[in-house]
This record gives sequence, structure tokens and C-alpha cells, in this order.
Amino acid sequence: MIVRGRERRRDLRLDVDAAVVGSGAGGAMMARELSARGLRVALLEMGGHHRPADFTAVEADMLEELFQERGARATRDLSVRVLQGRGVGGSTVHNTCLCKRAPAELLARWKREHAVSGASPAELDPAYAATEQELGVRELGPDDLNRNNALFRRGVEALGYRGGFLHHNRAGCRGAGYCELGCPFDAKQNALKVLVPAALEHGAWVVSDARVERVETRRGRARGVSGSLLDALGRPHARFEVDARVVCLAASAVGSAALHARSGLPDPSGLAGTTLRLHPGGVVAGLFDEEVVGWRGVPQSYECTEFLSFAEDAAKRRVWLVPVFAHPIGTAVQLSGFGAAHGELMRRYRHVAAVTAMVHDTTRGRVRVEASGRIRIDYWPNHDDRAQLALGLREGARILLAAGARRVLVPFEPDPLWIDDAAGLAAIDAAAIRRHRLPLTAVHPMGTLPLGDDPARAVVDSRGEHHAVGGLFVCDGSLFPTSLGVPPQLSIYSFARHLAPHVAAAC
Amino acid sequence: MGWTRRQVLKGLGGLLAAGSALGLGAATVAGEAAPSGLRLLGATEARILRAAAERLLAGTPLDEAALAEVLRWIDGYLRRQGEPLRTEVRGLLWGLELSAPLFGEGWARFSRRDADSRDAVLRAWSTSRFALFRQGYAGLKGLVLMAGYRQPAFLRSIGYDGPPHG
Ligand SMILES: Cc1cc2nc3c(=O)[nH]c(=O)nc-3n(C[C@H](O)[C@H](O)[C@H](O)COP(=O)(O)OP(=O)(O)OC[C@H]3O[C@@H](n4cnc5c(N)ncnc54)[C@H](O)[C@@H]3O)c2cc1C
Ligand code: SF4
Repeated sequence: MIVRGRERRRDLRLDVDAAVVGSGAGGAMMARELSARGLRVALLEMGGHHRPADFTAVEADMLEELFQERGARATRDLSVRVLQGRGVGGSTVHNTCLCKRAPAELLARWKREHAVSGASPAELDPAYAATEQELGVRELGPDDLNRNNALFRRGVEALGYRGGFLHHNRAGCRGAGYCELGCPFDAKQNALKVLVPAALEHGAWVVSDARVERVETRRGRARGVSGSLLDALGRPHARFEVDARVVCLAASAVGSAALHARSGLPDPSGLAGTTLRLHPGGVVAGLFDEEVVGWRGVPQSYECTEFLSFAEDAAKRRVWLVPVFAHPIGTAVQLSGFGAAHGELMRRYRHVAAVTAMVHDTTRGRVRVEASGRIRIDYWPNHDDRAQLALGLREGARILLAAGARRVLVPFEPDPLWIDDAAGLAAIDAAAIRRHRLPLTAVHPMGTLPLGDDPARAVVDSRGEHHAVGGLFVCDGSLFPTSLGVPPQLSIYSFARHLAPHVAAAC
Repeated sequence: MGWTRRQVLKGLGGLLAAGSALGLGAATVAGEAAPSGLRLLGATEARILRAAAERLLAGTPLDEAALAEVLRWIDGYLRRQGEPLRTEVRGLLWGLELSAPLFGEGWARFSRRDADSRDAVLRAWSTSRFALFRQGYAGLKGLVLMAGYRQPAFLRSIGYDGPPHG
């Protein structure tokens, strides 16, 4: 049953087995899994319930409609932009469809250092395999490369770096290139298209424009949630209450930690909201004589893993390189300076190829809630992560030069750093990466309610249940005890699937 | 060392209060009406924003109509965003208007300066050793560029053939 909160002016009261908060990768999977087992489920989502026709690909409009805080979410000091989804399907609606399993070495470390049990590669394999099958995950090939990615591949191969095609969950993709604004052609096999309809078929309630403001507890057990139904502008216009035997937090690593704080839930480990990882990323841009027209085609089809390793001795190789391209607003806010100089850079838009360097980070950020109710994110990469970022930007620039870029730009404020040849690369070092001097972006928040069997070192146990609140589960990106180092959606979908039997057993 | 948001707000709030005390508030500027179509920003705030947008978007197809659209869109965006961002951005505008003396750029208000002098103040914000100003610059730049690069003429000028604004 679909309830669009923006169209409903009356209060809503539901009585279900499970209330799932947030309908992204983790929440939609959990709702589908539980409802398929015959349980009564309410999937509660603060954003709207969109149809493909709503994805107009108009950047400013989609930023406002599909992203948290109307596209303005950032760390408290605005030094790192944090892009996250809002709406049924969560961040899977506007992500770029990359799918990668968690590396075996990382899972072994989670077991060893974070007391995570039941999550070895072999134990997770059934959930990963079923998810890959259900979402149609397949490896891309040369035909999927747009010019931006083809140039990147050329550079990676010229340097002899390790690279390869990525796996994606898309079907019938026309290469239109609007993935980050929602797919107008419904080609993404994501939570909105695949899992939410399946949950509905199994009888779940899907309530959009429903902002959960509190997890209700009684005698140490979760007993439901309450919150506001929002109008089209996001203003509360009615209330809802959901009584439930279990509650699953799936509001993302930021949203779930904020709800945990807002609800005043017990936190014996003191870790809730204090272990935020972001995979912070910076960008370098190559100027080519030829037209690249990087916004057309599949945005990210090829990767370079030369500087990313999960082996024990790999602390110095923690950066992942992948082509990236933004539509005009996204590009404009990343470029250096303002006025005539900025306008001049923008006019080269068709000739730009770009690479992002994303760090498998060790920094611990924080999520809190201000007195005004606004979510506050504190994060600035530590020295080691900044050194990795510098390494990644240097190597990204080297790849662009090897691919034939005439010059490479690093978008420092207020003036760009121009690199014309390999000799200039040394200018990108950790010391150059300072707050507000280089725009950073994060699209993979994780790790704020980490799992593990030791209540002193984890917020939830290895089955996803809160160590101090019975019947309260976490099933989104908050779960990871460290940064993942690879795109997280496949692992979030798969962890939710893997944990679902435990949640069902608690209902 | 970065300032906390509380300090930012206090700092900008102080400037806002100073602005009002000096008789610069929207309601107190006699004879100056807010541009039509604006529902949140007062006349003086609109003037400051306009003065900043003219410089931030110099080098683009910015004409009178486009500038009016930038102001109108930002006014609407702030209304849709609600508090506390609204108050912060208004404080930021007042901070910009009154901050030049802190950078040794003379006493004239930002919105009364010529183009070069406004550029100098914006640049001083972007390179300030205080995170407060760099943060303010980043926020204002982002807002204005978003308001600019959503307009069809801007998109055409850079050769973007994505969907025009509907
Ligand atoms: C531009 C972009 C590109 C990306 N590309 C990739 C990619 O190619 N591959 C990949 O693996 N990952 C990618 N990601 C990241 C990936 O999409 C996310 O990691 C993943 O979707 C997170 O899943 P989640 O369930 O933790 O949260 P989300 O998918 O973010 O879902 C959380 C949902 O909870 C809702 N919510 C929050 N608070 C509340 C509340 N109080 N009440 C009710 N609802 C609430 C939100 O509105 C949201 O819909 C990308 C992200 C972005 C932003
Ligand atoms: S590239 Fe494919 S998935 Fe992305 S918007 Fe276009 S059709 Fe949709």
C-alpha cells in the first residue's frame, strides 16, 4: 500500500511487525525481505515517492528534490560536500550503479579487530550472489566507455597501472548520462525500481514524505517510531505513529546516527555517531584539444586500482581512481575562483576529462544533532588521509597527462594549480590540501553505528541488533566498522539481505 | 584553526545586529524597495546579493534579466530551505557588506564599491586565515553559481546540451 505523505493531511497510525526507517539500499532490501516472509512491514521514507517521469534531468530541480538538504548537505564548516539521497530508493536513485563486493582481506580484518562474526566472504556469498542476480549486475565492456572513461583507460594503460571495467546494475541503459540526477529511462536496477515494488507486492506499507523523529522504546525494547508527514516543501503537516515489534534503522550513516541521537537511545560503547567514514574525494581535470563531452554516456565504467590495496602492509595505498563528470552546477561549484577567470574555465567544459581520487579513509568523523534540529557533520581528513588524497590527485593528473591532456587543473581556491608535465606533479602534496582550499566531496557515508560482538567496541551485534535496545536493528551503511574502500551499495544491499533472517526471527 | 559554527553565527549575527543598529536593515532604508518577486530578502540584502552575484558571475552571459532571475531563485531557495540556513545566509550577506575594513580595504560598504574593489573583498574572504570567511565565501559562491548555471543562456554558453530548464 502506497501512502504519499505530502498528499495526506490526516494523521496516520499503523500497527506492524517491523518498521523500517529509510528506503535506500539497506531499507528497501530489508522491507522486501521481511514482507516476503509474510511479516507486516511499514517502510518509512522522509523524501518523495517518484516515478521515472519525475526525473526531468534538470540539474537544479533534481538536486533540490532528490538530495538531502536540497543538495546543500555538507560538513559543518562547508569544507566537504556530502551528497546523499532523499526519497523512496534513497541514494540508489541517483547513484552511478557501480557494484563491488567487500574485499576478503577487509572482512577478515573486521573479524579479527572488530569481533564481527558470521560475515566471512563464504558466509556473505549467498547474499551477494542473490543480490547481484536480482539487480542484474554485470561487467561493463569497451562499448560502455564514454569519451571521458576511454581517455582515462588510455592513460591507465599507457602507464601500465592496474585497471579494469566496473560492474553495474543497469538494464536497457541508453547512455544518456543523467544517472546522478535520477534515470529518466528507468534503466537502473535499484531499490526504487526493483525492491520497493516487490515489497509492495508482498503487502508492505510504503509511506513517503514521512520523517521519523523518534524511535519509541519501552523497558529497553524498541516498540515503534513516530514522526511527521511532510508537505511538498518538506514542512510538517500531519503526524504519524507506528507501533512495531522491531525497528530497523536504514536512514543512512548520517540519518540513522542522527535518529539514534535524537531519540536519546542508550550508547554503552559511546561510539554512536562518532565513527563516520566518508571516502572523501577530490578531483583533477584535464584539458584536451578534442571534445570530450563528458556528461554523455555511462559516467563511470572503468577504474584504476593501482593505488588501492587491502593487504596488511598496504597502509600507503588507500586511494581509488575513477573517471568522474558533473553537470554544469556540480562543475561550477568545484572550479576555482570566480568571475571572468571562472567563466573562462567553464567555457572549456566540452573539452574536459576528469578523475576523482577517493580515499579508503581512517578519519573518524562525527554526526550530531544541533539544538535547531539540524544534522551536524564534522569531518576533515587526517594527515594520512590527506597524504592519500594528494597521492591520488597526483596519479589522477599523471593519468590525464598520459592520456594526452594538454594541461591538468587542480581546483585549488582561489587560483587553480596548472600542471603541464610530470615535473609539476610534486606540487600536489598533503600540505596543499587544506580546508576550503580544495573542494572535497563525499558520496559514501558509512560506519556511524558499527557492528561487532563486543558491546564495548560496537553499537550493534553481528546480527545487526542494538547492544542495549532489544528489537532495534541497523541495516544500512552505518553498520561498517571501518571504511569499505569500494563503492558500498552492493554490500549494503547484501548485508541487509544477510541480516534479514535475524530480524524476522525477532518479530 | 577553524571557527565553530556557533562562532560563525555569533560573528555574522553580530554584524547583522550592527547593520540594523546602523540603520542599514531592510525596513529602515528609506526609499529603497526590494526588487519585485522577492519575498524573503529585504531591499538592502537584495542589493548586497546583487553586488556579489555581479562579480561572482562576471564572465558569463549575465544580463539584467539573468541577474534578476539569480536573485529570485535564491530568494525562493532560501524560503524552501527554511531555518536556520535562511538566517545564516542573511547574516552572511550583512557580513559581506560590512567586512571590508577588517581586510584593510577601506570603509565603504560592499554594495557601494566598484567592481575591482568588490573582487578584492571577495578574494580576501576566499584566502582569509579565518575559516569563517572562507566558509562564507564557499557558501555564497555555491549559491550564486547554482542560481546562474541553471539558466538556459548559461548552459548554452558552455556548450551543455542537457535538458534546458523546464
Ligand atoms: C552521486 C552519488 C553516486 C553514488 N554512486 C555509487 C555507486 O556507483 N556505487 C555504490 O556502491 N554507491 C554509490 N553511491 C553511494 C550509495 O548510493 C550509498 O552508499 C547507498 O545508497 C547507501 O545506502 P543506505 O541504505 O545506507 O542509505 P541511503 O540509500 O542514502 O538511504 C537512506 C534513506 O533514508 C531516508 N531517511 C533519512 N533520514 C530519515 C528519517 N529520519 N526518516 C525517514 N527517512 C529517512 C533518506 O531520505 C534516504 O532515502 C553514490 C552516492 C551518490 C550520492
Ligand atoms: S546513462 Fe543509463 S542509467 Fe544513466 S541516466 Fe542514462 S539511461 Fe539512465
